[in-house]
Amino acid sequence: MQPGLLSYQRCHVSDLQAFFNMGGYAIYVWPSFILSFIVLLANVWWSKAQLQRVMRDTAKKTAARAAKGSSASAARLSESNPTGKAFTETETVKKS
Amino acid sequence: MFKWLHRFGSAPFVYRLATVVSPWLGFACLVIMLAGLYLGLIVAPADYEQGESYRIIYVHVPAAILSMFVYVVMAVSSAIFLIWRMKLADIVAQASAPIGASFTFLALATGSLWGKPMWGTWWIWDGRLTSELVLLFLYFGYMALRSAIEHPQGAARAAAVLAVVGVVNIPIIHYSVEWWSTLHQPATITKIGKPTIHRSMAIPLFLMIIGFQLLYAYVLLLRTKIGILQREGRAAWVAQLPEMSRV
Repeated sequence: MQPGLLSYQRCHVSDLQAFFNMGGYAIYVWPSFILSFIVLLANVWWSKAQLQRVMRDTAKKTAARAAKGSSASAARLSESNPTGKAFTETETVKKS
Repeated sequence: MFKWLHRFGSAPFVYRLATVVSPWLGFACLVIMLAGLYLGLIVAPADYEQGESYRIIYVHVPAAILSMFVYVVMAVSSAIFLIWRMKLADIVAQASAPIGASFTFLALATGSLWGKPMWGTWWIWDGRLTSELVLLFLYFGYMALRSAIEHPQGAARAAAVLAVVGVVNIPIIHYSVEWWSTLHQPATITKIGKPTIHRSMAIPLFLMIIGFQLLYAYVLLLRTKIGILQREGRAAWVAQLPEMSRV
């Protein structure tokens, strides 16, 4: 085990200072890590926010179509259903 | 076997799979990155030549490796899209572009922060740095091309061609340190058989690389879901999703 590990575990003020000082390279090391943290977090946060927004939009549109309930929308549904999965009973009845 | 593979072309299957798998990826990413940071910043010793400044390696190298890895994923899925017209491959390529661009930016920025104390300059037109900058512009070009063409199918195809052609830059980045050896140091861990790095420094580096990979996988799944919803939003299976009644 390295001596460095033991001294940090004792958590002396001078050790903490040495840790944050990074051997005089603090102004290069810490911005690198902070910037990386920001970029990675931004990736996650931005994607999550966009997914929420798209989900809300899709749900709204689906609800609007269901409210309209026209046969035209049922036809569109069948066009864009790539799996060929069976529709719900009501939709099949409406189509025929 | 092929039937099993075929399911990965089905949007509902991939969407549900992403919903189940992504939280686990996010959790694993967090744990592994924290372990990598602890070992890299606290346990690993200082470098005999570069002192404490070498610790930038723990974010710089993973970002740089992922910047290339993400591009290869983007190029391969673009090729699959062009050859077999597989919509999901296009979604994956589109989802990868902003993530790859952010990793490339990170590799350049942290490299700059490392170059200043070690080389005495923020930037130099060295082979590695220049080809990595070209990679950033390839990502930007891909995204710009997608949004510049009105017709979505035309945009997808044009951007896919750009991604496939641009993959020629990846070996250039990789071999740049051998072809034009100016300031950037040669490879540390990808040397076959004989890595020039001690285990106490290599383990945290590997953990950070795996952590970055997991983060890419996690964000890729989130963005793939976005892409699927944008294209298949009107499909019946989307309306039946449980989260559609919740949001």
